[in-house]
Formats: sequence, C-alpha cells, structure tokens
Amino acid sequence: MSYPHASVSRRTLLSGAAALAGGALLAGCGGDERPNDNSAEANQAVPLPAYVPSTVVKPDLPGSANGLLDAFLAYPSPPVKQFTGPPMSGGTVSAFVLTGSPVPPPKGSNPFWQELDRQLGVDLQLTITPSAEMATKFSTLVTGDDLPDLIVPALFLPNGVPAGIGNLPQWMATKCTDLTPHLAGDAVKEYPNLAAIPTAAWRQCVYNGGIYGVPVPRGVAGTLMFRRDDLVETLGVNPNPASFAEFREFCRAVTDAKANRWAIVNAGGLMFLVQQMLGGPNGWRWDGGTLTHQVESEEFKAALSDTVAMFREGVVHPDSFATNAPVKRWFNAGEAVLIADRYTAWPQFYAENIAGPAFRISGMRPPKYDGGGWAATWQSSAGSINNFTVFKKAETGRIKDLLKLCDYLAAPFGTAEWLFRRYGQEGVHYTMRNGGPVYTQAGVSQTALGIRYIVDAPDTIFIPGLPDATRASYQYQKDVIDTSVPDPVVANGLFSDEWSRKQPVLGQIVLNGQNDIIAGRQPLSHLDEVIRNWRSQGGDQVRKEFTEQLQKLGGR
Amino acid sequence: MTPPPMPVRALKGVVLTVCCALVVVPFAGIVSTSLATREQIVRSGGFVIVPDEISFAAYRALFTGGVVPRAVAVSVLITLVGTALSLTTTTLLAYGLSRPGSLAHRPVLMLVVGALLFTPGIIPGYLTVSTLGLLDSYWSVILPAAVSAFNVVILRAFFMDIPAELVESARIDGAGDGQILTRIVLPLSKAVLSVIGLFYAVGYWNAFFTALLYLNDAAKWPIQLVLRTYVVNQQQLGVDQVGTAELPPQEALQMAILVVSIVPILLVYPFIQRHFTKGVLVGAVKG
Repeated sequence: MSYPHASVSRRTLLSGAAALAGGALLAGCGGDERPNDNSAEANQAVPLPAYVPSTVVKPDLPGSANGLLDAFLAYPSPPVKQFTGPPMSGGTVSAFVLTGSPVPPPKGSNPFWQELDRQLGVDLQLTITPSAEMATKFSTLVTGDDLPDLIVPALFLPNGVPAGIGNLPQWMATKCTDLTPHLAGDAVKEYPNLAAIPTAAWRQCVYNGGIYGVPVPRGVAGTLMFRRDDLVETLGVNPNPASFAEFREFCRAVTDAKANRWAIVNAGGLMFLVQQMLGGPNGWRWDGGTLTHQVESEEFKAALSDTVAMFREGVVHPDSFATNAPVKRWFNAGEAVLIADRYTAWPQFYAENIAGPAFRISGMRPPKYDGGGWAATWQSSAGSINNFTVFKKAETGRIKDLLKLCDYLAAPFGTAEWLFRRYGQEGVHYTMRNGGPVYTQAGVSQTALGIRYIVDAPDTIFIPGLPDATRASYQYQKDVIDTSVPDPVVANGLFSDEWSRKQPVLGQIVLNGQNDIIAGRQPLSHLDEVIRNWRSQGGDQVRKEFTEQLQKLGGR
Repeated sequence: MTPPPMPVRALKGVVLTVCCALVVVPFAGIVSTSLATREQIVRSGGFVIVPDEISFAAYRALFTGGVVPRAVAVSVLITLVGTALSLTTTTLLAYGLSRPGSLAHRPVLMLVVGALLFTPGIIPGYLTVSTLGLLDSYWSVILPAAVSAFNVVILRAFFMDIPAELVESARIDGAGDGQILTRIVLPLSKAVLSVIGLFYAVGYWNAFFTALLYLNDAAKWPIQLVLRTYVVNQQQLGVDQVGTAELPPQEALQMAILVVSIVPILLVYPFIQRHFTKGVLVGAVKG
C-alpha cells in the first residue's frame, strides 16, 4: 500500500530521525554562552539541592535514608491543606508529558482538568504522548523547535529504558534552563516540596555541570519476586527456600501441569532470581579497574545453565515465550506462583485478583546460592527516578513561576493537594473506602493527564484499603533495602551517548540469545556468540565511555 | 462436468472450514472478550472464546468518557473528507496523465513515479507540515496522504485502457475534456474508483502515525491513536490506576475499543466487494 509511513518500518525511520535530530542539535551548540561540558567531573561538582524531608504528615511505618519508603496504612484524614492559594496567577503553561493510560477527555469535557487549572491558577496546555511513542514524538518536537515550557525528555521511559535519542545533553545545554541557581543548596528551600525530594533523585537530573530538571522520584527497591502466599500455604510447601537447591525443589513441588499450575510465569524471572542468588552484577560490575556487563559475567552463564535445566523440568509456564504473554493474569489466576515485577505492581495485583479475600502475596527473597543467608537484591535499573522534566529557556521570573507550579505538583502524600492531583474530587472522581481512595469511572479517565510525570513527591508504600498488604510490602522492602546493590553506572549518574541510543538494541541481543538458549533452540555455548555480538554492536564502545568516567571519578 | 469424488470434496470442505476458522475465531474472541466478566478473563488467561455471562460494562465505560465517541467522529470526518479529496485529485491527475500530449506530461509523470520510489522520512515530513502551519489541524492528517502515486498509476492505466474511439466520438460531438471525464470516463471506471476509494478510506481510517506526529491536542486524535493508548500501554496501567477494582477489566476495554474501531470500516466492505475483484485485477495486469 502506498499510504505514507505505513510501509516503512518505524525503527528504520526512528534511527534516521534521531541521527538527524542529533546533527541539528550539535549544529545549534556553537556560540552558546557556556561551553557544554557533560563530563563526570563537572557533574560530580554540582551542588545539589538541600534535602529537607517533609513533616506535613507522619508515616505509619517510617522510611529510611537508604531508600526505604514511608508507608501509610490509610490516607490521613482529614488531609492536610498545604496551599492557601494557587501557585500561579493567570497565563498559560504548556507541557510535553507522557502517559501510560488511555487518553483523557479534552479539557472542555474534563471537570478534573478544569479544576486543576483553577487550583494551579493557570491554563495548563498538555501535549499528552503515549509512552510507547515517546521517542518518535520527542524527536519531532526537538526538530520542530517549537518547545513547550516543560518537557519530559524521552531519556527514560517508565521502565527505565532509554529511548534512543542522541546528544541529549547537548540539546539540553542549548535549549533548556540550567536550574542550578534556583535550586542548588539552600535555594531550593523556597520550594519546600521540591526540597523534600531525596538527593539521589536530584543527582539523576544533573547534566552539563548543572541541574537540568526536576525529578519524578521512585523507590530504589525496583523489581522483586512476587509470591502467591495463599497458594503456597494451601500446597503446604516451605515458602522460603534457603538455597538454590531448595528453590529448585520449591519450584518442582508447586508445579502441577495437570492442575494448570506452574512455579513461575516466565524464564526471565528465573534468570533474575538465580543471578541474584549467585551474586551476579546488577547491570554492570565495576571492580576498580574494569567494567563488566552482566551478560559477560560468569554468574550470568551459570544462571543461564540452571535456568535451562529448570525450564526443561517444566516449572515455567509453557506459553511464556508468546508475545505479550498475559503473565499478570496467570499469576492472578493462580496458573503461576511466582512473578518478577516492580514494587509498584503490588496494588494492581490486589485490585485485579479473583481469588477473593484469601488472596495474599508477598516478596520472595533470593537465598544465597549455596545457602547460608539471604543474597543481596538488585536496586532499580532506573535508580531513584522514573523520569525528569526539563524547562525551556526562559527569563528568571518565568522559571521561578514554573518552579512554584512544580512545588504544588510535588505536594507530598497526606496533603489535600496530593489527593486531588492523583484522585480528583471526592464523590466525583473517587470514593473513600477503608481509608483508601477508590476511583470512579470518571476518575480513572479524567485524571490520567500525565501531570504526575512532570514532577512528583517522594514515593510511598500505600495499598489503598488494604493495610495488611501495605505492611507486607513495607516489610519486604525493609528486609532487602540495606543490602541491595545498585547498578554502578546509574548510582554514579553516568551518561554515555552510545548507551542512551543503543541500549534497546543491545538489550534485545541479550534477550533473544537468552531465550534461544532457554527454549533449546541453541546450546549454552551460543552465549559466546551473543556476547561477541553484544560487544561489537556497541557494548565495547559503551564500556569505553563509562570506564573513562568511572576512572576519573576515582573508581568508586 | 462431473463433480469431483467425495473424498476430494470432503477435503476441500475441511480446508475451507479451517481457513474460515482462522479468520473468524480471532474476531469472535475479540468480541467475546469485550463482553466477558473480569473473572472469566483472568481464568482464561486474557482471551475468551465464548463468554459465560454477557457484560456491556466495557462499552459503557468507553462511551461515557466522551473520548471515544469524539475520536470516532474525528475519524469519520477525516475519512470522508480525505477520501473525497483524494479521489478527486487522483482522478484529475490520472486523467491528465492518461491523455497524450497534456501539459508537462513527462515531468509530471516522472514526479509521480519518483514519489512511488522515494518516501519522505519523518523529520522532512514534519518540517514541511510545520512550515505550512498545519500542525494541530486535521488537514495535517489529510493533505500529506491526499495523493498516492500508486493509486494514480493504477487509475491512469485504467483510463488509458478505455477505447480511444469512445473519447474521439465524444470529441466530435463537441464534448470538452471536462465532459469526457464526467460523462464517459468516470461512469466506465466505477469498479476501479471504488477500489481506490476503499484503499484511501482504509488508509485514512487507520492513520495513527501522522496523527501522533502532527496533532498535539489529544482532543483532535482519531480513534486509532486513542485505541493505541488503550492497547499498547498495557503494562503501565497498574502504576497509574491504583485501586480500580470496580471498573471493567483492562482486556475487555481493549477488545471493546478494538471492536469500535473495526466495525465501521467492516460495514463498508460488503458494498464495495462486488467491484473488488475486477478493480484489483486492473492493477494486476496493467501499469
């Protein structure tokens, strides 16, 4: 067919688009007042905003400086009203945001949006982009150069995957505001809710030797192995295996293909858990001199070998290699006892379960491979943020106004502002049940504006209406957080242009190779070829770029 | 002619049944899942063949928000206006190119063939649309797709095949090119026009990528782009929509909007089908 774009692969076009955009960006860099220096030293030297934790509400279960999140058993009632008037007085603010939800009704037929405008004191114009299309839309936005006030750059999608835009730091240096004078050190105290965002999240907004954005913070806890405690209990199996051998035994014991039940939804989850048992690197390993990627490590190979063996034993759901396999449904339907997912999935499992009140889940900690205690878990591959938002270049007064707006949008959990921003108005958009808000149909569709990806308050553990589940989620995080290991590249806030562009491709090489081996289409020795491909198609270049920066940082 | 022996007929029957099932079962599954309850969807792993209990909750949810009806209206508008415009321009261009000795015949033909070989990338396309001031306008979805070189070539081949005697006799009777086109050529080309019209209509109806690029205001999005936000973003729903136990299940919503987006274009097919074989064959042997 001849319809434009229909027959051309999106990926092909995209790489062209990114390259073009990159060229345009670089060309635009000349003559800038400050040379653009995105080196690790320049970024390390940036004074970060002071951290002043919010005292607006006291959490039921307190968090910690190591990244354990505050937990709440019920929404504070009555919620604290933080703002007496709107943060801005008239005018228009435009923003480019992403959404993971069905598109909301337009402002004219969206009472939530209209009320939000009133609360903010501004006409908020949003360009809402489905997260799957972020990269494409962002490159056209950059090319067209008609930028909104606030922009979520397609560097991180919510799953932490860089989206394939080249030369992002250079673009930010030319087109976006360096927020350092407004936010560094005590300056941030002018915006108390921004000051309450943890330092680790701000570190991920640093580029070109300045603070270039406001973060949407998330817990570092990342992905965990969810376990159907109710099923395991019925089956009478020990839920906490103390070594790999016991874990394998656990998987065999809970699997019963005749009863349509398997231990785990997919083999990827097994790889995830077994690598942790073996102490494998989270993303990368930096031993002070050399940087090794996970796929090159001995632990990866060993875990792969074990996963192959377990897959052959039939403990993995047989349909798991299907595209878009409904793994969460299998877990909820009891077709699988284990699933690896982000900690943010906790409430969803409860919301969609069909097992009734008996439904109970918790996190399964990986034991050390040979026994003798718990293994360290991996922190989120996206670090402490979901994404960050940059500000188009503007005069100081405008930037201050926009920061005030962000201060409102970062009102912490427990405030009336948070509840409104997330859930809308009581009776219209949500109802309170057992201490937790429950969306109405109108609430679900109208509140999905994506404003939560402009900036956000520190994340909390809160499963609406289910205090016991909240306790379980908190307890798991508390257990693992102190020993959890970060990805050294993320923890040090490094940027590699090659990595930001090639990560999806490199990730696919590893995933395809891993799946081929697990499914038995290739022998284990095929892994060497996968590693060779990974290295030659960009892996070595990424390593070079990261290693240089890590060496300059003094090899932490 | 004697009918083939029984086993051959039986085999044909089986093959045809299997083929039909391959087409019908996914459709039936989509419709059934959109009508099923949460419990059944979870039990059956996300895809229901026959619903135990019919629930219209997903459709109610879709049509109360206001987004979906609006998007369907936008799509219908884009499809109608776009198809009319495309048919007009394509017919005029193809007619001009089918007459020997028309103005700038060769260069224009080369231009059309060139457009067939080289498609513009995203960025040049975006810059053009943006320079013309069409961003956030429905025209940005229609104009870049208004003339398809492929369809021009098919139509031109068909026009050239019309017996020259017919055109000549009309000319002797005093008809100008406009009359020849409307009175002689077009009535003879109903088959090919309906096929090309269908190509265009399906193209406009399915357009989501141009809409994504050029329409910043979500209120102007056509149904296919709205559909995409329902279907593609699925893994994110959990993060965004905490505590939605009372609402229709996600799969039912996804399938319901799929039904909504398929049905209108499906309804057009029966009316055009009789022209279809003939029209498509034109392109197969000429050109």
